[in-house]
Amino acid sequence: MPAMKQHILLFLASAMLVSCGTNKMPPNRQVAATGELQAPDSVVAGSHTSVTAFFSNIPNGETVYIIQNGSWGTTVTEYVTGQNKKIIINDTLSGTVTIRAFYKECFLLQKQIVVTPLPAAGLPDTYLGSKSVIADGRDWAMITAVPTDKYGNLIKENSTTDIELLRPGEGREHHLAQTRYGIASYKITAGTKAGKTFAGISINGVSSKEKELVETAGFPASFSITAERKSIYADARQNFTIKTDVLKDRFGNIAPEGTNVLFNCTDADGTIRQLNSYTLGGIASISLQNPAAAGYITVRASVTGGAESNSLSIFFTGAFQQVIAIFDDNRKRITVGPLRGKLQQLVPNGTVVSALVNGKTIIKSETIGGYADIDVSGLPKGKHKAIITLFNTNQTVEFSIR
Amino acid sequence: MPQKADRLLHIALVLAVVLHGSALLYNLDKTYDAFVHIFFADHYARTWFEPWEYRWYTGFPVNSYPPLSHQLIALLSFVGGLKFGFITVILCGLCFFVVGIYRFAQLWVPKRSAGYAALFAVAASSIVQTIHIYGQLPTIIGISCLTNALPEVYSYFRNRKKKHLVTALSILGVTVASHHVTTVFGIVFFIAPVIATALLDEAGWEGNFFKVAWSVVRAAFKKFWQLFWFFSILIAEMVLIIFPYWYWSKTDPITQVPIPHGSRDSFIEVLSSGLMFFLIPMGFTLLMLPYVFKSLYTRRNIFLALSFSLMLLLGTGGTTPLPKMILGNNAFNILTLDRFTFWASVMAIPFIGDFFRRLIEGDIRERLIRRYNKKVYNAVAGLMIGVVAFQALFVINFHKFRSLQPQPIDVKPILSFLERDQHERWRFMTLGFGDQMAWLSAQTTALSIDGNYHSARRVPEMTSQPLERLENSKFKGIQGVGSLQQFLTIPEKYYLKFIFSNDKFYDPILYFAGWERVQRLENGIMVWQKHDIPPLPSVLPKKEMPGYQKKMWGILPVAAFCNMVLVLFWFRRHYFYFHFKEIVSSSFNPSTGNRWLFGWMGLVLLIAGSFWIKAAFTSYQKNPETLIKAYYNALDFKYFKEAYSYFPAGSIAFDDYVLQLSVRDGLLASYGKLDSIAIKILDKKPGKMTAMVRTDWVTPLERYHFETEHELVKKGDNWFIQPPVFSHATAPDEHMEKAVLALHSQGKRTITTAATEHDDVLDRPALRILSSKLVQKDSQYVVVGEIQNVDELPAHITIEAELYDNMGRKLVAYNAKYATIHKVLPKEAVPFRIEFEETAWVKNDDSSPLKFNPAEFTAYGFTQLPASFKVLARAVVADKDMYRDAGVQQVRISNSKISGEVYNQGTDEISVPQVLFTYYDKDMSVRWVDYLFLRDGIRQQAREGFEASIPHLDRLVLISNATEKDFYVNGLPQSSIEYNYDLSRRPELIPVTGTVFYTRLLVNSYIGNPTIY
Repeated sequence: MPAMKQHILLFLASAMLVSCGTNKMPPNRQVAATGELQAPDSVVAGSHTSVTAFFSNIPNGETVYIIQNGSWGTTVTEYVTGQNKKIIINDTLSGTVTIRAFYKECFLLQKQIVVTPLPAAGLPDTYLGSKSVIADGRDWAMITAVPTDKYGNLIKENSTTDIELLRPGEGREHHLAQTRYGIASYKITAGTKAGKTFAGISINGVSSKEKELVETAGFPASFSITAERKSIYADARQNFTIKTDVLKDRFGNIAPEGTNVLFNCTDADGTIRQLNSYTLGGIASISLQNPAAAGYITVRASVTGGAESNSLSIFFTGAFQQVIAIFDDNRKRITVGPLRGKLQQLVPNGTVVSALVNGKTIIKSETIGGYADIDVSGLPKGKHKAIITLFNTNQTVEFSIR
Repeated sequence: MPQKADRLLHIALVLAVVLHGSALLYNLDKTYDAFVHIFFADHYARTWFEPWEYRWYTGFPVNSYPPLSHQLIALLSFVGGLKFGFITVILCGLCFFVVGIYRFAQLWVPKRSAGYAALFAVAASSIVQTIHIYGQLPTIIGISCLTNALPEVYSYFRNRKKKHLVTALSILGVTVASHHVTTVFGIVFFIAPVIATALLDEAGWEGNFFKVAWSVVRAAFKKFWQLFWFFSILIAEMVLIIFPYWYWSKTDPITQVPIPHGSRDSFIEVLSSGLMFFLIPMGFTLLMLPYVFKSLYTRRNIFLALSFSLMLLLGTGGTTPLPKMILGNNAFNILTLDRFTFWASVMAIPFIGDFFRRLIEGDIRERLIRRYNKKVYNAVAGLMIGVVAFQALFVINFHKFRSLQPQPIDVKPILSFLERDQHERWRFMTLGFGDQMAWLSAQTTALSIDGNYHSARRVPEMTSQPLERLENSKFKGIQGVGSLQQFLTIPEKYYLKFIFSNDKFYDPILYFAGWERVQRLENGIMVWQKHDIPPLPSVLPKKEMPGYQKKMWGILPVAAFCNMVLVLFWFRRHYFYFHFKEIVSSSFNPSTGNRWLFGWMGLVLLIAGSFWIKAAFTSYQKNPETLIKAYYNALDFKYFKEAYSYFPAGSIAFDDYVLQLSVRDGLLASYGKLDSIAIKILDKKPGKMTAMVRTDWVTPLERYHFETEHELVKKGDNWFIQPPVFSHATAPDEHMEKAVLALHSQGKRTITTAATEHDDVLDRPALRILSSKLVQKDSQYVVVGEIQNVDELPAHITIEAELYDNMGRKLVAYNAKYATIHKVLPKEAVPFRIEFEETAWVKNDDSSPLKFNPAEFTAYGFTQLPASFKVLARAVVADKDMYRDAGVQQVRISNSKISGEVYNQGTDEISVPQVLFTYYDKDMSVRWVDYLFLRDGIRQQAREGFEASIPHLDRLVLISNATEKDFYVNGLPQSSIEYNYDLSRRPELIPVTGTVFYTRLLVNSYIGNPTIY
């Protein structure tokens, strides 16, 4: 029972809603009166159109209701027969205006007038996207415009619009596009020269704002690297520079600023370096520390998904000849030094000397005045062996802690 | 016959206004709570009848706190601004309190003593602390009303006159409207003992104890209806005046987990808590305890004595288990127990006033002069008054000895930043502002995700954490920073775009979570922003309150106040008249009690003095372990002069030491806090010692454990620690020249206040997700992968992963946090790793999170196992933080370890270097991503070693390998985008020795102080 009650209530509610929502038109009853509404079938938006009404079988002084349904909505005008007044229509929105005449709640007659848009006026809304394309002859962007007349009506379908393009390198292009559904559009295919394309749309002498399309270089094609050394010694301190030549795509466009370039190096001792850089003016450069190990280091640069450089080998000679290390029993320290470099000068302060003690523990120390002190006081009593390493040069020291 | 008040009351009132009024002008912005109350007042000034406040958290109702004091400030703010309103209201409250104490004191001590009590009330340390350290306005209003109401309650139960009932209830109505807690506890601790004393006075308290007791019971029965009506009306009043508050607390109970409070500590274990929550509020009262107890524990005052003793006990917090046993576990963890100490100290004021009367013009004075001489008396009296004055001035200037708040911040530049370019359309957050964040909020309509009233917040990431505010999360250790990290990782959920940072501690977290510095404002505050955060919707959710409650909340509290003013005005002629016989007797006998009292005072002062002398003159160098602890403590707090004093003389010059420290940067040197220390003596010889010190350091990003060997030497009686050895490495070049990439996104190119046009918005940079996998590592599900910026412009990327079960139902979503680089150069490929944390919910309709604890990473509690996933990446053009001049060298892989050096070839010093390890399968798809934050910063042309363990890649369980259709970039399916380049051309990778995997190392550099060009 409750379910049935619910259904009935639902039905009643629906009926009420439907009845409320119905557009109540006057009853379409027939009366003996006849007549005519005289007006052009088509007018342009914003024009003043006179509609002349003629009615027969209606006594003078009677009121006939003229209802206009247009894009702005509905207007009701009272027309008194015998006064020969004209009905003026001034609709600024394009579309259809339907004029209906009612007499004593009876529909008499109707007339439809098509309101057509004016020619384009004012700056059309114009969009260009995407705003950048790759200058590879394939990528594309689209320019679109929505031309309207002075009342904001979309202009006539299939109106012709002029597309003007100024391509990088001053090449000028002219294209035509027809409006469809009120919109004019043109697909701009990228050229192969990087730069800016300026685009504009005009229609009936009305031009849009200038739009810009950036055409950029694609992924770099092959490139080469070179080295500039300041020192030939493998001292793990000085640095040298690796530079690329100008990175260009396959059409010769210079890579955008900031294009990431990766550098992979393998040192003579087998250790690896991986460093990042980016292009400035198409050139990427990187500063590397001289290796610790004498021999060749191999460098190669690459762009992910792009080109790879040549493999470059650079030779470094050893910077140190000999490591002198003496154990000082009183201080429980191994004194390493004097350590001399390529010109027999003392090595710079802060040069790291490491000691591998008994093959297990690594103790590191830095040089001051060409000497490094390795503290072994923490070792237990007994015999010990330490391999002192300065870069790739070793010296073994055997000592006893008492 | 109207009775005039004692002259001392007038002096006290003048002193209250002069002393506290002038001090408040300087102390207002240094208090804990003043700005919170001002913020609430600002709410009422803006929208009196709308209790929903949007500006903090995700909105909260202001009816979660009694409104009267805030509403009074709001009213006065229309005259002279919010600060004027606050100072005026609190000074009026204080004056009313002084009057209240004067009246309340007459229930227990003679009128003249009440005058002294009023004078003492102005300088009582608990009152000074409540005003100048806590800024607790409602507490002052509450206690002032309560003390004024109590004599009326007493009078009503003595003479049944309705004017006393009316006056008492009118005043108590204001107590309720301003601080309900005072009323609730006031009934138990103040009103009940006063009524009992009134009954006792009525029945007569001399004679046989049992007879007296029986008389009191009979009197209580006789006055049953009086009691009934009084409490009925009082309770009705309590319910009615702040009904919306009770309704809120019932319908929207507090979900906040208890937040640790120092008042619950053991004051013996945590001396600082003992100082703040017991010693300072008790102050001079502590010296007077024997007198107060002696005066209270009489037959007449026994009820007050019991109340005082109980409050004193509860105020000792966790020092003994008794308060927890009395209150129960729940109440103990919710209540802040210092309020009991405060009330106890207020209860003692009449008796201290009585003491001073007797000391200055009574029998104690006579006794001292008679027993000793006038000089001794003068010295004693001077000492007593001096101690009172000293404690008041000490507490007023407490912030000068121990900074409780950051330096005052000029909020105007922040306000102007929020107002321009529609910045108010996003939420903001402050870091390191202290309670001044409430002052900032009171000046703007911009919304903050943080707030300063934790009881009413409903943001799960906050309510599940014992965290007062996000802005001071570093003080809450791992839990605090963990909670902050969540907001920084998924800020889009809260529309959080701007952070105003006044504390560089948080900078590395912000940087590595993908935030960028926008500018440093004129006030020194650094503005950080997160790209690609949607603006707040125009309509924000709020919890609607019934209309009648809004009206009640807006009208009744102020009506209660107006009612009290009218009643007091009506009965003004009799207000200071004490209707009953003056209490003259005191059980304290100077001839016997002085010895005890001054003995106790001497003892307390001796103990306090001993502590101070010990602290001032104790040398930490007598004991090697103490020395090491003191040395590390000095390093932790950056007391370098102290640290230097522990080195042997001549071992290093102070200038050299400080210079060496000043050039060090890095997570540990600049952002580390010592968490724990353990010392082991390795070698002990006469005059020499070697110690191994194990320390744990907390930094914003990592915890570090160190084992450092220190050599200690003894010279004379003192031990010294050998200074650290600093690096002597020198850079090869004196001068560096390097071209760098400088970028600037201009946005709107037309200077206009109109909305941004289509032309002014840059396209989102094109991205390509190269590979991604859903893997299971132990019990965690993790999405790893690699993404490339294939655009010609640098990109700021946000990477989100969504997990689905085998029915295609979405389980959880989360963003990449530290395991990626958020700023990506053109053509650069970066790895990412996304972990799913317990509160991993990005959309509002996702299920509510539970708890988050980054120290013990809790994986998301999956109800259904994830079977597939999607990766959604989006980008906007970036123009900052593109430092790429750091790389790795000397990389070796051996014994499941990967070691090497980070070399800085650029012109900026790297404050925090991070090495990202990407491990690849044979097909060049990412298998795992790991990262390591280096402890030390790296200067220009310098290097820093690192070593990391290679994870067991073969133990990772592959759950799903994503294809193109699972990738979405900038809102589009990646499969719909045409990429015209050859992805197979990849940089060389490093083979991981002994496995089939490969690796690539990438350095992400945080530059703390970028070069200004």
